[in-house]
Parts: sequence; C-alpha cells; structure tokens
Amino acid sequence: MCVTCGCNDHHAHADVHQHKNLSHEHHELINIEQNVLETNDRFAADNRKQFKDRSILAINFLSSPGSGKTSLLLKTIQHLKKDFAIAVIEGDQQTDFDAQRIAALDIPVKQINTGKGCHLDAHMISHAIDQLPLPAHSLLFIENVGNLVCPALFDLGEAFKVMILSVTEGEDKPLKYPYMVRESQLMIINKIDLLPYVDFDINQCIQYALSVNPQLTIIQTSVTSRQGLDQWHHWLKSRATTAASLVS
Amino acid sequence: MHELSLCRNIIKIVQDHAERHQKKRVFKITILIGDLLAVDCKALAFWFNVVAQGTVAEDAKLDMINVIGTELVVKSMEAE
Repeated sequence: MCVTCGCNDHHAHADVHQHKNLSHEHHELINIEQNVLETNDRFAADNRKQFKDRSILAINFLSSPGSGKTSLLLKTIQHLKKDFAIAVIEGDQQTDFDAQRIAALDIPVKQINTGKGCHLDAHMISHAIDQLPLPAHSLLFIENVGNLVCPALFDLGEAFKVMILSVTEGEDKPLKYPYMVRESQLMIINKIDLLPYVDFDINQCIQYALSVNPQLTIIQTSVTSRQGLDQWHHWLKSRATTAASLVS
Repeated sequence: MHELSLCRNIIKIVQDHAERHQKKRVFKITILIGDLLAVDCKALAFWFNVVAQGTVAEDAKLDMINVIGTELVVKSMEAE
C-alpha cells in the first residue's frame, strides 16, 4: 500500500500536492481521456498521408551514436541515386556534419538540430518536408538522433523503422533496449567486418532480437567490406516499388 | 529524457481543459502508462515538477497508473 495516498503499489507520485487548507469537496473531477502523444500522432498521420499520396517511401533510421548510420546511408544513396529521387532529413542535437556529408553527394538534405531534445518528432518532420524537394516516387531517409531509447516512442509518419546495431556495441543490446527492437521492422547488424576483432556473439544477438520481436527482419552488413549491402538494397528497392505501386 | 517532452504535452492538455472548464487550480492529474512503452515513471515525475511550475498544475499531484499495453493517456484531473 502506498503511503502517499493509500492507493496500490502500482502508483508512483510527483509528490508536490499540498492541498493548502482545501478539502476534496472543492475539487471537480474532469474526465479527459486524451492521448499524451495526440499532437505528435496527428502530425505523423498528416505526414504519412502526404507520403502515401505522393508515393514516397519514408524510412526512419534509429540507432545509438556511432553505429555507422550515416556511412551506411551514404553508401545506400550512392547505389540508389541513379534510380530514385532521394532526400534526407538529419537529426542531431548539434552540428550539421552529417548534412554536409549528404549534401556532398548532391542530395537535398535538411538538418534538424534538436538542441537539448533527444529525438525527432512528427512536427519537426512536417516542417522539414515542406522545405525539401520530394517528387512522387522518391525515397525519404530520416536519420534520427543517435539514441536507442527515446526515438522509439515518436511516430514520424514513416513507412518503416530501421534499427541499426553495430558489432562493437555488444550482443545484449536488443534485450537492454527492447522498445526500439519491438518498434522496428528491420534490424541491420553493421560493421560485421570487425567480428574477428570484437567479442560479439552474432547468433546470440539475433536470438535476443527475435525473442523481443519475432517479426523482425535482420540483415548483416559492412559498409567497409560491402558485405550484405546487396541484401539491404534489395530490401529497400522492393519496399520502394511497393510504395510506387500504391499510387493510382 | 523524452519524459520532458511528454510532460510538456501533459501540461498542455491539462491547461487546455482547465481553461475550457474555467478552473484556476489543478490538484490531481491521473495518467495511464502502458507497460510496453519506454516511459519511466520516476523521470516523468521529476520532469512534471519542473514543467508544472508557474502553471495551473504547479501544486498538482501526478497519479500514474501502470496498465498493460501501449496506452499513454491523460485520464482525468481534479480542479477548482
């Protein structure tokens, strides 16, 4: 039993309630029943509709910092830019380093600096897509802030969430950060060229990830040795083709 | 850290409803938090105290009820 208000142990409290000589009879109970993420979800729904109407495939890339997201993105863009119009939204707390790397490939890019914020939200994306050339059938890559926790909660309107985990991070991460794994449709295990040099049990990692999300597709890649990139490009192209066929 | 933005959303919802019902002070806010969400109750309580300062909810108790699933809902508030 909770000593703060006598409710059961499943409660937690922000313990600042002082009552200030007022009794409960003065209080009116107002029913609200409103989703805390309602505003975000409304922007996400608008973004998703825009993407669908214009047959744009939007992918939300999620990972910890330093997993090789941007390097993988650069390789992917180099491979696909002759076949698809591509635009990129980069999310980082500070700097436009990543946007500069993308812009060097002549790809339209919008950098979002979240400052103290730890994730992108759908409202930020709605402004970014207004400022990017996004013709029908294009690919929109959204590189979220490097963080395995917070971005999992915020729908941006993307078609797919792709989580990237590198072998230098440890095979236990899918269990340590299960929310991200559960939200993702694809997990890329990156930097597999480093497997001989690190203590990383890849089979255990895959088993952990599938125990959290049995529907998860897993692709192993290395941007350096190019292993697995064909499989990743194939996954992406087949989704892009499906998105294009949805347009009437 | 994302609990900070969740608290801003909660306060915004509470302020809107307080205004709509012409309430000056909110004493208790009840929210439902699904166990499948990456939401930490202690972090939420911490940020709530910070964000609520100077608002109708600055003296409010945040009552967090854990539920099964992915719900994240402001259920009700007590105000005058």
